[in-house]
Amino acid sequence: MSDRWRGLRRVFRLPLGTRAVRGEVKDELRFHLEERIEELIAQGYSREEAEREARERFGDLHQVEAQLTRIDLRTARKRARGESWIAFLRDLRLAIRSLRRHPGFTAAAVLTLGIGMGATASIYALLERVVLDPLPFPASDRLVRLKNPVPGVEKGGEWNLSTAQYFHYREHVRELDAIGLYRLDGVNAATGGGGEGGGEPKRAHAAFVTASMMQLLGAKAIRGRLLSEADDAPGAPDAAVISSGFWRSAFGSDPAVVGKILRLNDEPVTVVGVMAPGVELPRDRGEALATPVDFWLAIRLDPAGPFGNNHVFAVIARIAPGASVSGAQGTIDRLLPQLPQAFPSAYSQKFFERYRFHTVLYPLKQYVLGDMARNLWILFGAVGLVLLIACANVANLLLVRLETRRRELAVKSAIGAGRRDLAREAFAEGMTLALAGAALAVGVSLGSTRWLVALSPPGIPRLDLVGFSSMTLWFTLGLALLIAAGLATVAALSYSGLTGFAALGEGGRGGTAGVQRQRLRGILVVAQIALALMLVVGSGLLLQSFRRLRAVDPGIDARGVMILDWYLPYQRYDSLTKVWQFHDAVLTKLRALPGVVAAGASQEVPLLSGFGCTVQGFEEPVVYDRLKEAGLTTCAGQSPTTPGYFEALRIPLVAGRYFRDEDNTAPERGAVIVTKAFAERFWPGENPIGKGVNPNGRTKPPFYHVVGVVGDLHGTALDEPVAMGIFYPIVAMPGGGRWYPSSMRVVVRTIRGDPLTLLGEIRRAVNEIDPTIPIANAETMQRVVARSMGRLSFTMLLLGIAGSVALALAAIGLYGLISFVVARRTNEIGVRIALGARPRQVERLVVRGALRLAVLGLLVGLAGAAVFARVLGGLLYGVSPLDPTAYAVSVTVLLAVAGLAGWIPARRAARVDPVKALREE
Amino acid sequence: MPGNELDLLRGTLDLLLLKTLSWGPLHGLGIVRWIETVTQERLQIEEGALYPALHRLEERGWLEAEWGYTEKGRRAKYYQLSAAGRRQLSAEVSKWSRYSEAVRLVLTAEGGAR
Repeated sequence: MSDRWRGLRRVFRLPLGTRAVRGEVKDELRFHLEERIEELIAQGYSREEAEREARERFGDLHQVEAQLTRIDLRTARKRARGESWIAFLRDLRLAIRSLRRHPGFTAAAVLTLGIGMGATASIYALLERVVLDPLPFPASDRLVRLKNPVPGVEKGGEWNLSTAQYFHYREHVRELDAIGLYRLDGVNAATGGGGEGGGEPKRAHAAFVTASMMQLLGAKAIRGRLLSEADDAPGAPDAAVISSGFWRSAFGSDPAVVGKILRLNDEPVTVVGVMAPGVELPRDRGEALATPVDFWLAIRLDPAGPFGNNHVFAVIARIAPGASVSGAQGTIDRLLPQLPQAFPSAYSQKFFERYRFHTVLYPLKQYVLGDMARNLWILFGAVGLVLLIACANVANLLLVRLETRRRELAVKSAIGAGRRDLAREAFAEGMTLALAGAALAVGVSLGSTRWLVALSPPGIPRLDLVGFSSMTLWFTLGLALLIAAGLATVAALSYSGLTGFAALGEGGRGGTAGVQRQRLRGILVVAQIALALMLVVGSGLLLQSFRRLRAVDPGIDARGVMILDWYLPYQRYDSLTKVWQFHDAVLTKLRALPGVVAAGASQEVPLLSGFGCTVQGFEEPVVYDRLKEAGLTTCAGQSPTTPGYFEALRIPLVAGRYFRDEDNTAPERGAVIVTKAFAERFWPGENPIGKGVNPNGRTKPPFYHVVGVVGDLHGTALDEPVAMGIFYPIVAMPGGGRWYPSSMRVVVRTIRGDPLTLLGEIRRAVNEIDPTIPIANAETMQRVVARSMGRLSFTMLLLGIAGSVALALAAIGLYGLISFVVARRTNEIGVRIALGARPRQVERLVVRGALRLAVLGLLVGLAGAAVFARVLGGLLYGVSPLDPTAYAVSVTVLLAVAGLAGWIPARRAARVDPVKALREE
Repeated sequence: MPGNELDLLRGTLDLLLLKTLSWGPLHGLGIVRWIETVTQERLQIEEGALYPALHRLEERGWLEAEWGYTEKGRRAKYYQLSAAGRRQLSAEVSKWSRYSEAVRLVLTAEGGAR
């Protein structure tokens, strides 16, 4: 064995032996010259002539010598590398052989590492695809989204841009080399030229875009062409690029689709091209998913106006090469005050002051990912902690094994194996374990990634692309290498006590040497408990958040409710009365269906899209004074609503009455219904019934008057504050504020088990009234509610799993250490019992030892947990990151687990037979 | 030296060295002598180029070097072909014969244009 070491050491020294190499080169050349000279002398040359001749024949001796030295040094280095590789493989082989001899230990270590690394690799795969990969747009790192924060309207409120802003920024911000604008809209789409032969209309999503969007998105046409600047000119004919999905479903992938006519909202539009698959608009805030676009149409804005104060256009821009986001932001900040002067029809000084309106550039990726990036990093951190605990466990196992091999190692060291050699052996062993773990991890990850994807909430971008990539493989291998190095370090640290001469004398068991080793294992266990506490507290806080969230009253009864939506094209439904008549006719039919209890429609449904924020007008001037004093605005979520809506969702009536048909057939009565939160904000302490209010900030009469107050509702999610809801009838008051309900959501309550079974009958009912109106997005209200909690429950579930695994691993680690200590101290315990110690006392002694380590770990862990909880902050709902209950429960659980982990070996200790124990010595 | 020796074509030296050593281990000077004898002194190896070539072949693993003693009891570095070197030699030989055959065909072709 030691021969091998010496041989290797020689190999290692070789590449450094420049002098030796040079000497050999010199010897070789000297031989050549001397031999040549002798040859020449034999031919009759004089010695001097012969020497000169030989030199001449050879050429530049020094140059050749230098050249040869260079080559030989290179050769030596290469060889050394090769040999150390071979030596490493030999080490690995030895390690595998020795590990095979201890299958129990090996299986435990590989399993622990495999699960830890597998979990880490899975979350890494998710992180890589969702967060780290660039967005699928050209120069995506330079793309930004423009938004208008309006803190004067509501805290955190953001509007999109106006066309005036778009043109102004396009003209004057030189830091942007491209800027594009778009607006998404629902359309009813039918193929074929018109009434006869045309396919059944479908609800579809249309994107009205500037031509520049094509370039910004990196769009490509697989048939025909994209939208050009000419298509985007004001007055240009209607032209559509259709999505490849629509091409397939509506045209059967007809290669001659270009030039065909579509009917969008009953208007003919020519197909000019088919978009390549995968081209989509980036997700915007408030959208659960990136909206799949079926049609791309030119928006055809007129740079000459007219311009209004409507901030409904999404804007994306690309920062010019060499420019920076902050540079562009600076320019826009300077341009902003010019807007009232440049566009007096759209902006006033007062508008800026009242709403504190300004424009901000966000990196597009940040906007697409939302808080998903943070959640995934949290999970990544959590599985990283679990992996650390797993590694500590394996290190502990390794130390136990070293302990049992003490004698063998001492012998090795006595016959000349240095600490470095033993460390290499340990590294090889760690490497073998880590590589085996990595192999297992790949399997674990392959399985769990699929499971993760299936489990995750909607709205995570690019989740469909998540898989075990080559980067994930490298990541896993890198982890394995790190773990091997870590295990080798721990082993090397513990060797220091083993390689001394004294170790030879140490018996197979007993003795008190190796205190240092014991301490190292103690530190590992303390670290495990600390890390476990962090995770347990974290998942405890999330669990509590989830429970709080479940306890929030959604304000509706989702059971038995189905929702869907439809869109009435304004070309045909050109008056609110026509819109009302359609709704009245269809809803009457729906209410007559067997099993249907109530049916209604409104522009907004709780927990789905948010109620938005539209300025309201108030009859009493005192309302404005009060708001000004409180620093609040008049904005609220306004939604045209039919009778039956509140009944279908079982939104409770607090005062007054629900809507009636007369509110639409006799609109001059001006009935309006508000939520409790609305009434409390605008008329605090007063009776809201009969108060005057108007939509869209209109302050002139006639006013609507409150006829009913309903319970509070949540806009997008239960963890957001309640909405300020205000519900107007469909038909506007004659001479009053106006609106047009674009897309209406329909809610139907049924006593049937599965509300979705109504779908066919609903479709038939709509068809009987107007066959050109398709219905879309049908789902149960319960799904909507579940989805609004999806993100929290996903993170909570995964963190909960991580916490439980951490707890189990820490318990195993502690148990292992205490059992080992008990085994080593068997004879000491035997002596104690022989001297009259009672089993109880022995038990207590051992358990106390375990708890001492646990308490130490918990103290360290409390600090770590507070940090981890702060990171979790944004995910928490109704719970402080320092919530004492969560901490107290977690600490108690860990102490209990630690006590149990100590108690099992303690009982063993208490049953020690003193006679046997002493005889074994 | 008289100017009647042939210049070695580029890349040919390696081939000659491998072939020469295929008969058995030789030291540097031995290789020079052998090639000169075989070619009846028509081909002379430039000694300054010989040794770098040998060492490079060793670096690539085609030659193995070992210190030994000449008949006169002098210490000298002997080179011999490795297994990889033998494979390399046969590859080079077939490449060379394809090349020289092609050259011969051009040189011996009858002029057909007239």
